Amino acid sequence: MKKFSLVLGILGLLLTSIPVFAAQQTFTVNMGVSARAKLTLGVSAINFPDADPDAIPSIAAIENAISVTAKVRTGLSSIATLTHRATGNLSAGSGITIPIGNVTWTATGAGYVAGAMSSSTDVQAGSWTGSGSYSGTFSYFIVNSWSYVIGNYTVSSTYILTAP
Amino acid sequence: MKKLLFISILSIAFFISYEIQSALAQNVTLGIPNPSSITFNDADPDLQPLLSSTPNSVSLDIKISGNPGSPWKLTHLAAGDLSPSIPISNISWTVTPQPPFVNGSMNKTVAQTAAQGVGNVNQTGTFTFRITNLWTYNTGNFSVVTTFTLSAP
Repeated sequence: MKKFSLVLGILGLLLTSIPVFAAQQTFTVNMGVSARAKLTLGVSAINFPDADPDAIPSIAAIENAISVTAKVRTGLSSIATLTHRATGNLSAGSGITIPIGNVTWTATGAGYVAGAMSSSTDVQAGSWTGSGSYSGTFSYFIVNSWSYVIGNYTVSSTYILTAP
Repeated sequence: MKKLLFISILSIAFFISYEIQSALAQNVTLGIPNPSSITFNDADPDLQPLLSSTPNSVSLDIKISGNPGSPWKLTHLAAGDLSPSIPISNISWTVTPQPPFVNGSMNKTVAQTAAQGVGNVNQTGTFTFRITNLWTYNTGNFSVVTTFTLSAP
């Protein structure tokens, strides 16, 4: 019995001393992501055709609906914004103008909002929380009034996409 | 009868001891990755939808001896994602020479095979890491520790 126990004891010691044949090395992966904003509009200009104000009190731009894509990289909880501002009223020269506030837009797509143009303040056109690529459309309309003086009007405006 | 039983058990013990002694001759050596860290730098996702790391390649030495006829394996496992918006599985590698090295993608839950074979080995693998570059990545500086494990059998 003693011999038997001795053999079992030796066997046990041998079995519990079996090593693990493995080696490990660590390896670190780093990445830096910076804020970034990219705005793409389907067209760079819109045109409102002439029309009878009684028949068509609100004129749609020929180019409607215009595609828009806002791509941003920002913080997890940061809010990216898209704003619009005109440089002034629609002008045909020599003080002949149409109030820029008569031009409005509707919007489709997550985060995009409708608005009316302004030359005195930045008007919000969209906002999103966190990074991503956001697509939508803008459709523009102008009040069609008998009070408009004849002429060819133009104005430039700017969209600004901000990723904090 | 008792003597026969005793001799049998002793024989088994010596046999096992011999096998263990043979196994103890195994030597598993995994070199330190060179370099030991990589960085993916920021870039426009539209211009660079797939980013290569800096440095561009990582070398890793694997050596196993005293392992005749037995399998061995090199695996890789990440401790987690780079960030909540950057899954670690967006990082993949290509490696030479093949075999024994194999291409793969990083994973935080299941160790991924990076090389495997049978018997002894003395090779240097050259890894190239790339990450999918997406607009959905939130800003910040991120880091994650990963582990290469070389084992036999």
